Amino acid sequence: MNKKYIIFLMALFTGIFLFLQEFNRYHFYYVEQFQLFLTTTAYFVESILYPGGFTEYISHFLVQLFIVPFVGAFITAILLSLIYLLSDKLLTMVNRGKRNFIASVSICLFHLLLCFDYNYFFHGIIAYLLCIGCLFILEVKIKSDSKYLIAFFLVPLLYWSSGSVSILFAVCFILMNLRADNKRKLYGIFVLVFALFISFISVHYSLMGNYRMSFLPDLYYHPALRPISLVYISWIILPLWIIIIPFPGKIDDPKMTQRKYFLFGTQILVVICVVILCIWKYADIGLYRLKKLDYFARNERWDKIIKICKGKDIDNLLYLDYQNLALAQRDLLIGELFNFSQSGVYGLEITQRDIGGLSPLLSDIRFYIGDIASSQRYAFEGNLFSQGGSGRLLKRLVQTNLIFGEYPVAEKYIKILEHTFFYRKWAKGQRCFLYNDSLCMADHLIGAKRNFLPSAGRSAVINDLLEMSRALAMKNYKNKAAQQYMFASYLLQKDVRGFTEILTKYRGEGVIDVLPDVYQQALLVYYEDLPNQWNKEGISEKNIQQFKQYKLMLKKNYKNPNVEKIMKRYFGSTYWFFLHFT
Amino acid sequence: MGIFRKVLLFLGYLIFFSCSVSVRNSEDMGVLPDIFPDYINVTVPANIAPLNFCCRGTQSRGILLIEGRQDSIKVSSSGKFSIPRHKWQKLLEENKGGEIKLTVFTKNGDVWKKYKPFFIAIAPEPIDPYIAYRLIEPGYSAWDKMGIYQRDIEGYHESPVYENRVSNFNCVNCHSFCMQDPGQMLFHVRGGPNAGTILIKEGKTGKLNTKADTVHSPLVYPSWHPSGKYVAFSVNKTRQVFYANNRDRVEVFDSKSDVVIYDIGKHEVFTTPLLSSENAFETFPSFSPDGKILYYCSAKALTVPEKIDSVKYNLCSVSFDSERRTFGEKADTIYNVKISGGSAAFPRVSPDGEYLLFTLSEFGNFHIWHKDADLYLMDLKTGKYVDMQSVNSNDVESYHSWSSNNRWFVFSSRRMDGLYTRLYIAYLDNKGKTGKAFLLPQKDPEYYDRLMKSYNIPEMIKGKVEINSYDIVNHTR
Repeated sequence: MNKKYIIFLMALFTGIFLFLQEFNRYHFYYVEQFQLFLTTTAYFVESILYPGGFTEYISHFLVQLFIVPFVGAFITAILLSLIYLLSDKLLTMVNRGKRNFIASVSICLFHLLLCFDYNYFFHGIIAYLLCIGCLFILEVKIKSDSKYLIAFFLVPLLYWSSGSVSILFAVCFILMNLRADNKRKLYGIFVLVFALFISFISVHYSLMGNYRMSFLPDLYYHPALRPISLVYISWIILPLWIIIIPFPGKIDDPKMTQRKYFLFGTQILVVICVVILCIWKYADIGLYRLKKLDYFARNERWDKIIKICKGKDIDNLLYLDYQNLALAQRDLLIGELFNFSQSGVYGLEITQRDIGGLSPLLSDIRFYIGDIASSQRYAFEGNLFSQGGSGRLLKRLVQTNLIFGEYPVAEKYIKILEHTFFYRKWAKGQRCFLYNDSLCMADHLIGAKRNFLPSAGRSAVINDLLEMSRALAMKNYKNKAAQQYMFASYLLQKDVRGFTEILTKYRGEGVIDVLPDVYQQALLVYYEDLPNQWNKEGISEKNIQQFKQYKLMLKKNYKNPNVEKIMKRYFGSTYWFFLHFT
Repeated sequence: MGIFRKVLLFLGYLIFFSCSVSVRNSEDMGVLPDIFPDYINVTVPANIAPLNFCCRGTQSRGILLIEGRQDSIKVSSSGKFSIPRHKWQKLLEENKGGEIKLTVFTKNGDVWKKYKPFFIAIAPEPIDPYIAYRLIEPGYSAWDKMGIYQRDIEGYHESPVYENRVSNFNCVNCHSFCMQDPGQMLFHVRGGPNAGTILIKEGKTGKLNTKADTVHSPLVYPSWHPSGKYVAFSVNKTRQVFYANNRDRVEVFDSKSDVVIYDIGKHEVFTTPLLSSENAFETFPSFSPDGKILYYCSAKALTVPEKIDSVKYNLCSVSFDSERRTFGEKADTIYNVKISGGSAAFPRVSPDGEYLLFTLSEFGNFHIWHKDADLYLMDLKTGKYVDMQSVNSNDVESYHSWSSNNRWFVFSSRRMDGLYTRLYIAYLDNKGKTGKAFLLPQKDPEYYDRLMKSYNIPEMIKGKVEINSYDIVNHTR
């Protein structure tokens, strides 16, 4: 490798790292929380018992490090740079010494784009790297005819360690040898046949679940889903280049200086256009914001979430769920409710269909209001759907079981977390609560949540957030979290009557000192035709005047097609605007 | 003898005797060791895998001395005792009908401590060599990977019978064997192209047509007739709710259930009004070993979940004529909840017809979620109950099944942590006395700490099921 090449590689690595760190950093945190790496021998042994288990083990080891800032982008950039380097070497050899920049970059690019899809497992990249690593060793380093024998034995090893990528290996191997001037080039067919046989027999003996997993890159994608086309493209592209690699001219030929620059420049331009197109098509920017919000929620950086959402027109219910949770955590949910985007009651808690990836959020919301049973359920089911366990959700399971006093189960989860690198310290810190009721009650989190538990008995959990938060709020008037969500639910459901009735009850208990503006606005709607009642209800003169102005302006602009815009400008942060226009 | 060999021998004696001398000089603790699993004073069959265990709260070096009538085994450990299988089996074989003595020594610093020895009784009768069960996460409504597995209990090997990864991760459940015969089994596959009841009989795999017009739901809990010609099923409309604050976490109940018989040869379903009343929930059918009686549970139909704690199942029986496919005209109540209280589930008669094992809890029928659920064993000749103190615990005991020789039964229990179901095996001698139940042994005694699945529907079988998932999928698509 010459100096220029090394510099280019370093630039490529740096470019990929910066790109990932800038556009995808929260993806790494998101992915890390849905898998678990255990430092036990038993975990290793159990991992390698199935095809693909070894690379999966390596993948889990690396992905656990993603919890550390910058590391996710760093590791991924290294692997992608290696993919570039090895595929470049391979294709240069196929191309008889002529380097083709676009070919190698395209392979690297498609794998880069896969990093944006959290349904694509990281061990797919490691498996791919292992595959082209083996090809590199055979074709570039060994070169002699013994490579056919080595390839033959490599196939089962590759299959067992990395899974279905052995098929890709065999296909590339045979294609590379067919292009070569070699009397024994047809021996490669035996390698392919053997690879196909192993994949088939693996399904037959139930080592692999089905043919899709055994032959295709589906193994590296979420098993319940069909992979996106990008996954297949990332596989097809290497054998395709091996077949069609063009001869645009030898880049290093000093006689072709002008043409060289023209060709190289054209290739750079093409690459840039393809990158932009692919990012636009495949990199889900919307999901990126979700991952960002989730990261801040996980780390309880509520002010960050509030800052991100402030002043934005948000209609995505998941974003609103995070926003409202952050506002509630800062005791701002009621006070600032309509200073932020709202979109109905599902902006407090999205309806749950496939819990899977939503489970941390749903668990957090229910945990916050004190519905520990539901929080536990979401954490449990989310953990079930993760890749071997979720550190974040196991932590929640420890907490909920401590709150319920289910110490043996909490201990089980603590023991598991103690066998991880990044959760063991936290887990060890929870041990003191085991079988120690008094310490639990004294703890600000466990004790407080225990105090707010519903009465023990056979009352069922209520899926509806309003009903559940009302049950919790009515059981313990000090449960401010449940109170916030209860009132917010009524308002966002536009149930002004229900809101007024429950508020009356609450005020009767002497729990509410100062009536927030948004409550007063709702009361004005309810008592609109009873102005005598307004002062009795404690509605301020300011709100009364504003209400009158609202009604006047609405009446005046009723038939104006821009009425919503006009009303929003003056009354956008009032409950009345939400009531009439959302 | 060469000098080198002499030196080696001398060193060997030195090491052996130095350890033995230290152990002999150990400090007598006078208490039983705190071991996990608790194998102290259990009764085991001679063909069980080694009962590996660890000493709780210590990672220090240990020695386990297992002494029989003639031979002994010495096992060293640094925390976990892993008993050599061959030596263990030989020792147990030699001490059948008697007991073995286990003494634990642990080393703290330079001091050896000796704990009070404990005993394990070796029953004269062997146990069926395999247990089949489902592995599934314990709870709520979601699942991911699950399967039906079989465990060789003379060793530690567990192999899949059917895993749902071959059929899009759908639900598989209710595996059942005819008279513990691994060659005759069925189980349900829910959802997907392979959905249905899979029947494996005499080496052939097929699918039953189980959603017959006369029944309101797919067939659920099965029980084979000993002839292999019929299978009794319950048909259940089941729901579940989750508690807001209750140690039982989940409540599962039927809003409708009946019992029917499926004729395998004729592909027909038939029943009797005694088993399909509108005013009652009938469920958990179970044929007697001679096939002449069908046991089942029956409760007065009430609105659920509102009145769930008033739904109490009697244990009943009705005669059955397998030649004519007819039932008796009246049902007998074997366990009457009005008199004796509680709610019964899972009646299972021992293969010799002498005992009836069932589960009892305060109400309802899905007792795995009821912490008060316990096993009850009735002598069918006398109607008296066997003392089950050495079997039950203060947590859930639920599903159970017999070994083919009547002397052993395996059951589900959540005594370990209150949530994850584990399998325990208990002995019943020919005088009707039970031995202390023991946890299904694992090669690594800490295996259960990391296992995040529950054992479900344990069924003892006389041999290995010789069919794999791929064959089942292929035959049933």
